[in-house]
Amino acid sequence: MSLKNLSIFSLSVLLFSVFLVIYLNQENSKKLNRIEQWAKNNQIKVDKSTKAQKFTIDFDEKEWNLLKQKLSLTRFFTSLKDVPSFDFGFDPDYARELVEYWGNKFDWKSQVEYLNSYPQFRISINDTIIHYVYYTTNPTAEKRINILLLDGWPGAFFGFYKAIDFMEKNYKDICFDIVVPSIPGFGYSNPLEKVVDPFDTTLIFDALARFVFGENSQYFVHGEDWGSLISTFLAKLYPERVGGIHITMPPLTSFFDFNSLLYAFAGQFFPNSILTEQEIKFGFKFSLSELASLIIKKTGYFHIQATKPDSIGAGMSDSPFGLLAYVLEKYSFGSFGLNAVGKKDGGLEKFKRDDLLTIITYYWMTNCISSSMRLYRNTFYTLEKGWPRIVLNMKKISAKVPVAVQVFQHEVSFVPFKVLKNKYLNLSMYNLVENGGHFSNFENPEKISNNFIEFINLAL
Amino acid sequence: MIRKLFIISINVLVLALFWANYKEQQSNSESEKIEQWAKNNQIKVDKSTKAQKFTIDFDEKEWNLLKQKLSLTRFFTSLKDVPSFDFGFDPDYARELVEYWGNKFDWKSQVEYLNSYPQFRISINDTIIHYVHYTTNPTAEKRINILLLDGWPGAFFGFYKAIDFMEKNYKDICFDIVVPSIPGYHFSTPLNKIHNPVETSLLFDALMRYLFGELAHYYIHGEDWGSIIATTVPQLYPTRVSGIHITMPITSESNILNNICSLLLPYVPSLFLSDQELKHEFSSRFSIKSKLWKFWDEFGYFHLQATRPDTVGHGLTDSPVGLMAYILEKYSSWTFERLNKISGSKDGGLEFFNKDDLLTVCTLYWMTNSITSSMRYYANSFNAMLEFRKQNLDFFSLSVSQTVPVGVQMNLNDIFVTPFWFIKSRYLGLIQYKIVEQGGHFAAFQNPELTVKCLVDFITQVEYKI
Repeated sequence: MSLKNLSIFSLSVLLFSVFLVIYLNQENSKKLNRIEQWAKNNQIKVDKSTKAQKFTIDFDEKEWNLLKQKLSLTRFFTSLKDVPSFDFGFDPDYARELVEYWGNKFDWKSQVEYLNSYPQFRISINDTIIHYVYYTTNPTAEKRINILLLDGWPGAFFGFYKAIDFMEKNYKDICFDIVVPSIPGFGYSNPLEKVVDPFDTTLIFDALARFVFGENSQYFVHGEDWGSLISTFLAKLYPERVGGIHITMPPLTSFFDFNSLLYAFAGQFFPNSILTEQEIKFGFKFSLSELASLIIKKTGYFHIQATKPDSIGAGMSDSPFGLLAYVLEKYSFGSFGLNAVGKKDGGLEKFKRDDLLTIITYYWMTNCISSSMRLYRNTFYTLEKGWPRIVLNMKKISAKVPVAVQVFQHEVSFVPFKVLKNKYLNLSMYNLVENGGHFSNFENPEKISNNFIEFINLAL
Repeated sequence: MIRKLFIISINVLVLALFWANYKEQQSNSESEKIEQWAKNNQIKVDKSTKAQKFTIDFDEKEWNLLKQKLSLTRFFTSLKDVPSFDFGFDPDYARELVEYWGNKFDWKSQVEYLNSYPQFRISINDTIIHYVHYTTNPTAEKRINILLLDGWPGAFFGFYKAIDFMEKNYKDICFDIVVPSIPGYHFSTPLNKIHNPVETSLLFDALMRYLFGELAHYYIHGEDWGSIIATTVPQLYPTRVSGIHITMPITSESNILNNICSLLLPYVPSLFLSDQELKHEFSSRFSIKSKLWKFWDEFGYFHLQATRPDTVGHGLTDSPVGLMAYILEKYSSWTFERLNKISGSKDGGLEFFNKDDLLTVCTLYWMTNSITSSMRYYANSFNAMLEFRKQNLDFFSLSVSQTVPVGVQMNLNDIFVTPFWFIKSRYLGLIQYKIVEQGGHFAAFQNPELTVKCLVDFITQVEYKI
C-alpha cells in the first residue's frame, strides 16, 4: 500500500473514530425533534406597531468625491514576473486598470438610479435593522407565490434584479411577492454593533416574512452562499411555513457526519462509485483528499474572516482599491475556479464592468465590509451559546419541505447527490449546470429563475 | 470506555502511519544529497561585485502623501457586545494610533535613528540585499562573525538595541555583525520574482563569504523566518556555521517517535518534560489539541498569505491604517496573548512597546512599499516546501547535524512552545536551552538585553569548548 493511501486510510479511520464518538454522544433524535418546538416557542414576535420605513438610496455627492479622491491617491504594487496572473491573488496590473476606470469613467449616479428601480424598505426587528426589497410582479395574476431571495458574501441584494425582471416578463400568469433582505451587517442592514450570526438571521428573516406575507402564509426560499445555509435553517425550523427551498451551495457543515465520511472514504478509492453519471461528466469529486485540498487552497479568506475580521477590515474600509481587489478576487475565483489563473483579467471581463463596480461601490458607500466579514467570526463566536445552534446542522430536512439543488460547474464546494439525499429527505430536484460559478443569480439570472419556478410548480 | 478505545486506536493508527513514513526517514545518504546540492548551488560572488553604501532618505514627498492618506482615513465601529480585540485589531485603538501617526510621530528623527548604523546594498544572484554591517569593539582580540536574522512582520532596526547592548557589555569581544533584510522586505527591494527560505539561505551565506572571505565561519541568531533560515544554512554548509541560536525551533513532523510522544505527552508529561517545563504548562500548550486551537485562532493570516498574498496585499499597500492594524495585531497577540492582556484591553497590550518604535516598523513597511512582497514569502515557501519534498530534498523535515551547536531561546509568551525533548530530536547539536519567562515572539525587539545574554552565553559555551 503506498504511503499516500496508507495515510489516507489511517486518517479516515481516525476520523471515523472521532465521528463515532460524536455520533454516540449527540445523535439523539428526540433532542433534534425538540428543535421544531423550540423554534415555535422562540419565533420572533413582530410587534403590531412595528412599521417598515420606505427607503431610497441617496446619491451622496460628498462621499462619491471622497471616494474619487482616495482613488486618485491609490498606491499600487507590481506583479510577480515569474508567476501566472491571478495565481497569488488579484492581479496588480488589472487592478490598476479597474481603478482607472472606477475613478474616471464609472457613473455612480446612474447606478444609484438603477439600484432604486425596485421599492426598498427598512425595518427594525429584534433591535436589528433590516433592509429589504419588496416587489410584486404581475399583481393581477391569479396564482400568488411568496418568495424570499437570499444571497451571501460578497453578494448584494441588487444582484437579483435581473432575475426579478426575468420572472416578471416570463411568468405573466404568476404574481410573485418577492422579498430580498440583506443579512444584518451587509449593505443597508446597518449599523450593526452586536453579534448576529446566521442562526439569528434565520429567525429574523422568518419574522420579516411573517410581517410582509402574513403570520401563517407559506413562502418559498431561494438561497446562495450564506443564503443556502439560512434556507436550510428555515426549512428545519419552520417546516410548516416554508413551502420549499432552492439552493445552489448545500452547506458542507451539514455533512460533517458518519454517513458522509463513509462516502468521502469510498470516493477516495473508488471515485465514481458515489457519483451520478452527470456528476462524473462534470468532473466533480468528493473524497477526503478533495475536501482537504478545498480547505487548504480555497479557504484562506474564510479562516482569517472567521478569526480576525477587524484586523483585515481596517485596510478595506479605508482603501477603495483594497476593497476592490479583495472582493473581486472572489468573483474571479468563485466564478471560474482555477481557469481564472493565467488570464489577464481573471475572467472578469465576462461580467459587465459597471455591474462589478456597483457591487464594490455599494460595499464602500455603506462602509460595510468589516461588518459583513464579521458574520464569519460571529458564526464561531456564538457556538458557546450551545443548543440548538450546534445540532441544527445535523438535523435532517423533513420530508415536509421539498428541496431543490442547482449546482453550477465552478461552485466552490460540492456534495454529491447520494450524500444530499441522506439529509434532504425530499430532494425533489437536482440539476447541474455547465459554465456557471458561485455567484449564480448574478451570472445566470435566467437559469436560476427558470429552475426555481419549475421547482415551485412541482412542489405546489 | 469509548474514550479509551478511541485513544488507543489513535495511537495505533499513528504508529501505523508513521511506520510507513519511517522507511522514508532521513538516512545519511539524504544529508549527503543535500550537501551535494548545496555544493552545486553555492552562489559564486563575483569579484567585481561591490556593495554600495546605503543611507535612508527622509523622503518629504512620500511622508506628506502618507500624512494625507492618514488624514483621509475612514474607520468603522467596534462591536459593542464583544470585548475589544476579540475580533482582531480594535478600531477605536486604531483611530488613536492613526491620530498620533499623522500628527505627532516624527519620521524624520526616526530616519536619523535608522541611519545610526552603517548600511549597504548589494546585488547577488540578481537579487538586491540590504544589510547593516557593524563591528563592535574593533580592537578586541576575540573576533566573532555573526548574522542577525528576523522575520515577519519584523524590521532590521529591531536589533539596534541588541547591538548597542553587545557593544557596551562585551568589550572583550569584537562582534562583526551583519543584519540583512530578507529579499522582498524593506530595502531588499524591489523583488518581482519568486524567492524562498532555501534561496535566502544560499544568498545570506554568499553575503557572509563576500564580507568575511570564502573560508569564513559565522554564527547565526534567528527569529521567526530567521529561525528557519538559521536552520537551513547549517544543513547546506555545516562546516561554515559555528553555531545557531534560535527562538523558533521547527520540529519535524515526520519523526515517528516525536509524533507518538506528542500524543502521549498530556498523559505522561513528566516523562518528556523537565520540572521547569512542567511548571510552565508545556504539557497543555504542546498538546495536539492546544496546537490545533492555536492554529485555528491565530493562523488565518498565515493561511491567507500562503495562498493568496496579493489579494490582501492591495489594501495594505494603499491604506496606512490597514497596514498598521494588520501588522500591529501580531505585535499584540504574539507577545501578550498568553498573559491575557489583550481581550477587553484598550490597547491590546501594545502600550508596553514604545509607540514610536511600533510606528517606525509600520512606516518602514510603508515607505519601502514592501508589505505585499513580504507576504508573498509565505506563498513562495509553501510552494517551495512541496517542490523540495518531491525532489527528496526535504530541508524542512531533516535534522541539523550534530556537528553544529544549537542554542534555543524559548520565549514563554510566544505563540507556540516546544519542549527540549522534542527539539533535541531534530537539532542534534542542541547544547543550550533557556526558557525566558518575559519573552514574546519578537525576542530582540522586546527584550534586547535578555536576548543578547542568551546569545552570548551560547557563543561563549561553543567558543570555549573548542
